[in-house]
Amino acid sequence: MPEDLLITDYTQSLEELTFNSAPLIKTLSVIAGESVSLASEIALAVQFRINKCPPTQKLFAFYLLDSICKNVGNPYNILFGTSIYDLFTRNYTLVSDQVRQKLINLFTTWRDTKTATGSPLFPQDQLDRIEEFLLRATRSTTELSKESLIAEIEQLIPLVTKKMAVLPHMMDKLRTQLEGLNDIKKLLASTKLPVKTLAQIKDKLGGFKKEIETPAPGQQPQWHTNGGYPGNPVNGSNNPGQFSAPAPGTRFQAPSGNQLPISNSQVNPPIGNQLPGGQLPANAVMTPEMLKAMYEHFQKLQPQASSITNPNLKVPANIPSNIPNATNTNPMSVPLENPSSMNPGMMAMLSGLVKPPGPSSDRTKDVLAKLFQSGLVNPPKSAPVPPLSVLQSLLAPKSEGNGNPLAGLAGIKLPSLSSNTTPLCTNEAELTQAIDTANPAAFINEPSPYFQNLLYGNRSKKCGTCGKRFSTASNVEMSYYEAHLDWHFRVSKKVLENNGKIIQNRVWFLDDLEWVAFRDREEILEFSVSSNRANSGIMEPLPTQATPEVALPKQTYVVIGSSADTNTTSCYICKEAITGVYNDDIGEWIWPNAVQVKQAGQLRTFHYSCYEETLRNQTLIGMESGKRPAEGVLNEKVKRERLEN
Amino acid sequence: MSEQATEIKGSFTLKAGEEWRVEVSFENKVVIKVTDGIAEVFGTELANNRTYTFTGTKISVYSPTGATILHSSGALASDYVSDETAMPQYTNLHLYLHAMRDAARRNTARGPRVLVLGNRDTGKTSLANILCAYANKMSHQPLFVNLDPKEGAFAVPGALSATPISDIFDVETYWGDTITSNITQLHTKQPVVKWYGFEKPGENLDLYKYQAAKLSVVANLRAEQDEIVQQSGYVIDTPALGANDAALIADIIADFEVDVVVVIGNERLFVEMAKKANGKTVLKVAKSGGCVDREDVFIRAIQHRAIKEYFYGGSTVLAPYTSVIDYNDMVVYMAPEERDTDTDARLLVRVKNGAATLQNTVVAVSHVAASGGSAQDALDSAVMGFAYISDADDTKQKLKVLGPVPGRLPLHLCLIGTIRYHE
Ligand SMILES: Nc1ncnc2c1ncn2[C@@H]1O[C@H](COP(=O)(O)OP(=O)(O)OP(=O)(O)O)[C@@H](O)[C@H]1O
Ligand SMILES: [Mg+2]
Ligand SMILES: [Zn+2]
Ligand SMILES: [Zn+2]
Repeated sequence: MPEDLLITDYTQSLEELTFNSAPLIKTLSVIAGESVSLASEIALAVQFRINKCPPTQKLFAFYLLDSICKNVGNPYNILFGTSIYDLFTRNYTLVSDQVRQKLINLFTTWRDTKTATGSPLFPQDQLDRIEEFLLRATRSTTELSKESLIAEIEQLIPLVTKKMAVLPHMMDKLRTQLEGLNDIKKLLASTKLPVKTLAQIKDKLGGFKKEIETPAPGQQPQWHTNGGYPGNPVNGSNNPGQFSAPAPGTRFQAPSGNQLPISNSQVNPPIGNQLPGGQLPANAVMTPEMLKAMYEHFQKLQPQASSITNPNLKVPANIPSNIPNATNTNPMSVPLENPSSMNPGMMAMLSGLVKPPGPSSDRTKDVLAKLFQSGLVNPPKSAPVPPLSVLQSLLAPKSEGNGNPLAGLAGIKLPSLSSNTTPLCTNEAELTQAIDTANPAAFINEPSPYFQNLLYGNRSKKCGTCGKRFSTASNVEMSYYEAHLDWHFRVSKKVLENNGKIIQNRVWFLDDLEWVAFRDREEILEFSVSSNRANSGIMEPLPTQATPEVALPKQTYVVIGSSADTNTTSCYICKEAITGVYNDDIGEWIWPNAVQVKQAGQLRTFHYSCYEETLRNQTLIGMESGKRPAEGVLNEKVKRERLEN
Repeated sequence: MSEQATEIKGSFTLKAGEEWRVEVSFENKVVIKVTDGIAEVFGTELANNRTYTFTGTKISVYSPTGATILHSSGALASDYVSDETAMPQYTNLHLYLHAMRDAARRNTARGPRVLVLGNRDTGKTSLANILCAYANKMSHQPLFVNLDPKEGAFAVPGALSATPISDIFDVETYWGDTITSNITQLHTKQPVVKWYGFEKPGENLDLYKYQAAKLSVVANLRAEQDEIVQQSGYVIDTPALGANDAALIADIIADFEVDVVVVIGNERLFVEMAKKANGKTVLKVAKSGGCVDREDVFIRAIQHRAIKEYFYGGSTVLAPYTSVIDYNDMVVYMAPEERDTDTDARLLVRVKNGAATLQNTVVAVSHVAASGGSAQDALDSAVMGFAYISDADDTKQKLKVLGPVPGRLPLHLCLIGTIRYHE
């Protein structure tokens, strides 16, 4: 299968990412963008590479991840986003200080990058947790008190006022900053803040102080040099001079207006125009020809249109020819960033759809956000890096924090769709919550093969009889599926048995109040037939509506008592075995689709459907013979027993 | 679920995003089988390697991923494959609603109540069907509200209804069955039904509005008490309404507390609705290129079939029951034929039983016992079922009545309209 080959080759190419090769990163990004139907596999491969490659090479794989997420966006940012905290922090602990600084820089661009819909690149909670981790990893151990922070602010305020006098053209910005400082001060004085927030404030203040002390503010980011992505080749421990920290006062932020990924050629902060044109890195091992060949090879391996879920999604025709040329003149000008070279399908795909951060009523956050926006914030400093053991302890699972931080891409499989057994795509809840409901008019016009998976891929089991889909995500969900198949089986059997013997008719509709009280299906477990059909046969000359005296139990499963000595029982009516399953939700062993009823002094177990059906038939029979349904209408056997007793 | 021995003649592949649009007359049928991939009919996924039989219908078999389809040679009125589909947009519309339902579920709040509007034959019913099928596929249980009396989903023409979509549709019969007395191959559905008695709202606008409002009261009450319905919201199908029907649309929106208005391919109506959005989400979607303008004869045939299936069954064969009753034993009301709406507030008047008024009519049987029941009671009751008067003998003063349930027709107040049927 070409798909398999593509993944294999992609994985192999990843292994060549042993140095900071912008062309290779770019090529692999383009391929990723064109193979969204294989997004999960590609994401897995990249994640695997990050985790498994030597620490000195991890950064380059992160750069690739970054490039794919920023340039292609959806679905990659979502795929990686689910476990980016885990991936980032786990690998952060394994690399050198220099690489750590690079990773921090990279993280800062993630934090500041927004998708076209204004959402964060990765889920906000993941970003927040990384930030928190970095803060703790980099913070000096001195205790934080709000008094010390207030003191610090009080030192800063005169600095800002002084600057206002010197730099009148920056008046507006400085005034905003001054207001921000005063806001924080008030906040500190009036509210008890968690340590985490204090630490954040401390950090912001540190950054701000740097900036305010810098004579020439407002520099643009300095991604650069040596044709690498985006920073410096970090293999250069033998060449420390190449390692250039960003200039003080520089915001570690993507260029302003950085809207992923459609806007303009600025779109991709790291790769773009910051690189000196024309030169491949001295240590490049891949020639443009090799890249071209590789690209063409991948082109051949592209999944056919039929396997790409979005029919509009086509390979931009001009990329292949552009690559070698572009590499010769300017290695960076692959038209990936040029929206005009993309067809609408590609554009649509590129407009990442990521959940916007929820509205925050938290005043602290607002103030901090303001500081971020006014641009007076630096990223956390790398300065004293705690020893590995400390870092690892930071990563130890915490009881707080939603979701399992280690639930990574490992759980994600193919997003491509197949008929009967499409593997689970990704966590349905997360995916659902990633749908941007804030702007439905835009959303409905951006077909997303990825979200489509909610309809098919996430429910990978398809019933062969009726086409209904089921999830296999948990035992409970599997038990629905099995109960459903069971039900088909029994229905077919009964229909065969009934053939010609039982004459069916439509039953009367319910009146308003009956209908209001009617429940179509209890969601606990999939069971056979809609409950409460018992009022079916209302007819003259019954003076009142026949409400059956024997109500059907609402619960459609039976909890197997701890005293029970067996896991298996049999239905009293059809005699088929009923086997217990463990239900995660209620934490008990249960007989699904079953009911227990006390009859003739005995507790008997029935299939829910068998019981219900008998009940209903008896009700009908009772009425056909002009009688009201007898109390406790049971099956023939039971009646006979009664007579015998 | 009919497993005919029809020979499979053709086979073809549907590429991802393509629709196979098929028209089958009432005289013919087509049997299809999906052997590979995913194919769905108006949002309902077909099981693979199982035959489905269609007759008297215009359907779209859509594949989001590509599929291989076998079909019988049956003479098709028309069939072609198109790669211009509105489905990705409809799918996203569903996904948007899904996210809202999901949020409603998490916050035990109310799910989206969606009103589908558009001109005649723009695919309103098809879209409503797709939205319900997708919602059900994702474990929600939206209330499908049919305000179009023309086709009478889950009932007969002339009726308005609300039905929780608690299981997969039976694509062969479009909506599938309502509850029957015994086991069926697919889960049946339980509607609540109100009687209007005419095909178009304009024929008796006051009665239409009254019954739509009554239906909304019941629906809203159900939603209040039935969590899953509440969280899944409504999908409301409407008769063809345009910018001139603003007042009626406003009533419907208020009655059902609509949150999302979806306008199919009518820019003017969309602009009007958006102007008065008032907190609601107003969206426009494209009309599917597959929509067919349906001739009146075709609509008649669909109506006839709907009535027939009510009594005799669709996928499951049902046995109705014929009884003969005295003229005196049936109390019938209907909307007054000519009424000065300014002075005459009566929505229903008593019908004088006779061949002229009752022969071949479809009768809605209310839940209200005839003795002591008033016109107002009949109006306010839900429909218990339908009967068909195949013969009214003025000399013997006898009615020959077909009812769904064995036994004599209950002595309940009945309502009629202009809906007729011929066996
Ligand atoms: N994509 C499609 N492919 C083939 N047939 C379609 C498609 N969409 C709709 N149709 C058919 O076109 C006809 C009109 O569609 P539909 O009934 O949904 O429109 P409507 O707006 O509800 O019409 P009305 O105004 O009469 O209620 C129907 O016969 C339907 O089956
Ligand atoms: Mg319609
Ligand atoms: Zn099934
Ligand atoms: Zn049984």
